[in-house]
Amino acid sequence: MKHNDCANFLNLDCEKGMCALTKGIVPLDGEGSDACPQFREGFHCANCKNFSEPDKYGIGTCSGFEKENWTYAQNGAFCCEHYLQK
Amino acid sequence: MENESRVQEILKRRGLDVTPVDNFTEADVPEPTERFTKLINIYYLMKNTVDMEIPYWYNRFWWENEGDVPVIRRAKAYGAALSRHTPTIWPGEKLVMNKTKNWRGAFPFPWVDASFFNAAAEALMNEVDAPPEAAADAVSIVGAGGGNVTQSYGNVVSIAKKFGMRKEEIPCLVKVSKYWDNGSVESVSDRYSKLVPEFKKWKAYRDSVLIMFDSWAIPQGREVINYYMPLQYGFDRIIELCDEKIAETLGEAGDDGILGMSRGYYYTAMKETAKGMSHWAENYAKRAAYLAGLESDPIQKKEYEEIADVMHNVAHKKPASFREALQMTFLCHLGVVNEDPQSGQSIGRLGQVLQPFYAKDLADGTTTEEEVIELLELYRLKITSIECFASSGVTGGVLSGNTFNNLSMGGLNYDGLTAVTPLEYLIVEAGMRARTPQPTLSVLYDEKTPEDFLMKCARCCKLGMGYPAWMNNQGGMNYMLRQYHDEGMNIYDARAWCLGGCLESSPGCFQPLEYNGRVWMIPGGAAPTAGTGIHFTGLPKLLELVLTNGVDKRTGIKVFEPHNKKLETFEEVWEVWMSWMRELLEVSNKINNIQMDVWRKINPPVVQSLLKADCFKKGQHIGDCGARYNGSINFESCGTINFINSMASLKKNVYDDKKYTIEEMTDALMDNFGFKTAFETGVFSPDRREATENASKYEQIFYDCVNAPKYGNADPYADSILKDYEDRMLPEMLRLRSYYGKQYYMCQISVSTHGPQGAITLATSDGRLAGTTYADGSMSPAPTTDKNGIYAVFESATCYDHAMCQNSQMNVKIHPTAVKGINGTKKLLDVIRAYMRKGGFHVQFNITSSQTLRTAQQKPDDYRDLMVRVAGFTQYWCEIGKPIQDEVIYRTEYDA
Amino acid sequence: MDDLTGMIFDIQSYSVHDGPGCRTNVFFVGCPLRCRWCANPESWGRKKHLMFSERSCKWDQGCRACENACPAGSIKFDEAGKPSLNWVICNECETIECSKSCAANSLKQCVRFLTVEDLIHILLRDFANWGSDGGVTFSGGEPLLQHEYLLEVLKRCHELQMHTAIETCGFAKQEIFLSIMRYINFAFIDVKNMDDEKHRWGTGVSNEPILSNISSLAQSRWEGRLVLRQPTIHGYNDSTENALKVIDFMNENNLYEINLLKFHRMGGTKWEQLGTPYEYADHGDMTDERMKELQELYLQNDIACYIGEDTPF
Repeated sequence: MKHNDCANFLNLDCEKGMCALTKGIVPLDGEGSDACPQFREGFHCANCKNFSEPDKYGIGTCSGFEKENWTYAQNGAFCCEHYLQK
Repeated sequence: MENESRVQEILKRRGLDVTPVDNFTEADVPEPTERFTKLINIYYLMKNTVDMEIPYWYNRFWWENEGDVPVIRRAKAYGAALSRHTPTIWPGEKLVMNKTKNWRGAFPFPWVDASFFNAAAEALMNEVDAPPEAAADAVSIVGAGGGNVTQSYGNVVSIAKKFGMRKEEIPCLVKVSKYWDNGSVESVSDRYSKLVPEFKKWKAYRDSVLIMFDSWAIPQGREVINYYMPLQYGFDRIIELCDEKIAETLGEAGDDGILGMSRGYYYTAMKETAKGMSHWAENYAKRAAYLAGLESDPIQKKEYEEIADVMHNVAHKKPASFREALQMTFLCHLGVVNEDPQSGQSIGRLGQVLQPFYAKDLADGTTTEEEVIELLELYRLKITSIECFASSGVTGGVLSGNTFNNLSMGGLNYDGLTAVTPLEYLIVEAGMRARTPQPTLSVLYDEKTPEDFLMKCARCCKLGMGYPAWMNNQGGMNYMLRQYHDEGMNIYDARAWCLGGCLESSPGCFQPLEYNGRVWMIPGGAAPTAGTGIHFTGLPKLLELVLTNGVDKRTGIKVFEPHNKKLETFEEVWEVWMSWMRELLEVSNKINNIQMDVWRKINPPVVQSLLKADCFKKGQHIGDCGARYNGSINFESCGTINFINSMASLKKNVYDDKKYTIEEMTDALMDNFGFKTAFETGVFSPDRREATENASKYEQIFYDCVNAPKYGNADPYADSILKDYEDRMLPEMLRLRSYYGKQYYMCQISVSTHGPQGAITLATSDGRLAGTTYADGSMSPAPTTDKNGIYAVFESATCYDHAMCQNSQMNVKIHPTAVKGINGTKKLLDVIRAYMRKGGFHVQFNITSSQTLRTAQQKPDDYRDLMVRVAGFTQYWCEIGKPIQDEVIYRTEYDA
Repeated sequence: MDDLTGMIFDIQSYSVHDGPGCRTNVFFVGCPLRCRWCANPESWGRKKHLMFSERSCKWDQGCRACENACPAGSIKFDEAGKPSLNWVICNECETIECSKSCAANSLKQCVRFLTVEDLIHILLRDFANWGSDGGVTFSGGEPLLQHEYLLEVLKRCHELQMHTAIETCGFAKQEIFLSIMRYINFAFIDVKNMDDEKHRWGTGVSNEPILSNISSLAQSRWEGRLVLRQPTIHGYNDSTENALKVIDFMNENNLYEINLLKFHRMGGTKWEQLGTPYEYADHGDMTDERMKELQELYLQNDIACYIGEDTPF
């Protein structure tokens, strides 16, 4: 698990973010990018019960809305009204 | 000054009446707040980042609403995107919200321009499919360029050499872009542009870079936002008003057979838009509450809770405090800049708009000056963090990475008295303490502006950030009355003008805000975008084509039909040049009209159409002429001074003195006077000359070209050509008709195009070598050609009436020692006032020594926070391109 | 007096350290003094002359445009392609034709001839730019050397109510000096050394006429503002003794403002350009500490003393 999969993760840019608990800047890749023991699953389509059958790029199906559609695993879902944590 | 008080005592005792001696030392500028400092130190580490959340949701809901009325479909798609993308709040923030979940975030707009991504789809997917790199390689390359991601590394893909995108988002980008392949503004307008008989001509202009850019690339901006609606009503009430209007107008045509029926759809769209904006704010409230739940530090927890309260109120009600009002304007600002790729979306006269809120809080004792300054510092950082993702040429070429969110101050109020407010003093103060490129500040200089305010602004100017810039208020008002009189512009609305974009005078109006038991007339924008007409046209390049009989020597493209004239008189040169200019204007106008018409039909702006006066009153969106004034489309020129100087040299050397034939002159230019070109030497500054074996052949003609009369020396020989140019162009502008059916006007700012357009222009007869950067703006002399000092430059610059045009642009570089101390501040103000009184429209200053700039060019990492003024905006030195850096260094420096 | 012509070395607009406010500074050619440290030696002689600025010369980029420009053969190129001048020839030159060959303006003729109306025309252009405090400053060289011309210019300035300032060494006949000062609102007068012998050694002339001019001005009904100036030079006039003499002189004449200018070597390259070795090329600079000590001395004696550009105007 990486920092950016965590519910305590705050986005900064394409290579780093911030931990809401420690306030430290954390890398997304390479050394130091693995999540700590305080990890909690974050809000992404990948973690939603309405998300299924992702392909190798993480593109799968969202059945949470009236009309079914595709979505991608990394898509942020904090504000999605149909988000259901797995 | 050293020993100031003792010197004063002596002078007083000795009976010397020196009026300004009360204080000749200026107090040090206080440090910014700790909160700001912590946050900007994080900002300096940030990479420009694009992500797919907003495009994804936009695309999904656009698709789900297939078949709906375009403006409603667009409002639903945009509202859905605003309502669902991830809100991010960082610890220490008070003012919140960002364009995207990232700090310097942006996102692509494939519904405007998809070809850029579709052309690159395969290459992008290959990057995704490439085997993962070793951890050691996955580290970013830090170096010159600040936050720009100029190349891919690790899991980051560089887009347009400026933004980084995570590899895992690329498949989504490719998939979304694919959908818009045939339906983007770009592709639809392209389809119809090609049906224009002169399309090929236009393509030749573009391919030879005689003109740059398409209108659809940044279809909004260079205009002023209007914050009135949400400040007066709040979103809940706006939604109710929409319902009332829908009930009143649906099915009713009124007296207008076309737009009458559209009103019902407009209000339906506005309701969706208002709901989206409200949701977006509410999401930040939720996010703040969520973070408060995680927080163990009681102070930070309380701050998150405060944010949650503010954002909840902003989501629903009209603001009830300065903080809420500022947050509301920022929400609206982001709402606008997220609906289209855009630059130059100006804040307008914020210190006048928010004064009622500030005044009440201060009177009630619920805030202090210092607390307000802190919020304004944080606001600076928020505006500085706004990035724009447009196609690569636009992002680097025009914008230099800046988005020109201009904040204007001063001018006159509704009653015709000075509009300066106490809050504006604090805006300047925050700009002095918290030094960031944005928002850039502009002073609307009027003789009625209080002296102490002008002095404060001059003081700010001296700190070297390039702001505030100084604009002529009466000149701006005159221009408003001139350009917009047919649309009913009157003296009251003329007083509400300010800068949209870096230097684009934009019409406004005053509207009655009810707050704290009285009515305040607050200013706001009342016209759509400017600068989406005929884009940056290289005037020296057009002259080059006249000399080459219409063929672009660089590319071999036949840009114009050969004139086959011998160019026997100076007037003949003018005639050919003007006739081609006329052709260029007419052809380009058609293409740009199509581009912008397609934009307004299939991609009408919705947030802007809610905010801008008088859309809501009329029930018409921006595309349907909902704004009060619509004659806002312009012709942008570049290289004015090199053109004028080149004409002066032709007149002098070829026609008056008859020293050379026009053929001899043309030969010398084609051969770059026997020097290597800027591309061969890598230096774009005009002081670098490397001879080839041909140099001796052209020594005399080069000397005569360099020493021909030059603009900027109060020499009527050159200046009269400038006046002639302005006089010849004006009727052309009045004849053209934009897609709004209104006349054009001249926009004479180069932004950053003097770099790329200089690069494609061969040597010019003023002695400028091939490939070197043009003189910037329209009034700055070509570097080092102004030999008679700054007052002579002013004399030259004001040889025509600046109020004929939307703007003019004058950059002045002053060595810091020339304006030291409080006397120096006064002397700086004297020089500004001198130019304003002569009728100059705009002047701005770089008060950083050339030596510092040279050092910074060598060691960019040591100068991460150094800023310079380019052509109407301030930017971090390390984030602007080398040709522009060279030009700034080479500008004549006044060291008194 | 239309036939009166002034020899003007340079005109600088937006000059901010030569009197109150924003000013236009007119530099006159010619000087009766021969200061060993002079920053503008090119303006000593009263004739057209050549300036060669090596710094802006493009020889290193292969330019040889001036190769055949001198009919007297003064310009020679070394093996590296760098030009040099024979100053014996150049100092005698009346035509300065070589300057026409140089696009970089490295070779230039540096004197302009202006009638009274020519100069007034330029000043009128600048008039509106000066603001409430500014005006014109006559400087040099030594403006008093061309006093007939200067007087006519000043009369016109007075008619136009332009604020006038002068930077002068004060070395002139008293009646000439006072006739000029009648039209001056603000004056800087140099007091280089109180010791006459040292003054002669440093400047080539006696200080007696200068001090006498200052005294007579101070005792006249002149209403202008007078600031004494001293280019402060290490080992020449930076002694306490000299300062005390200046203080006495000022107190005697009820003068109370002095501006000390820290000696700088800016003139060095200009000496090279004129083909004269510069005596002060490796002369020690004044230290900031000593400048402050001197300022303290003046202040203690009730004289407002300013250092360099740090002035209350």
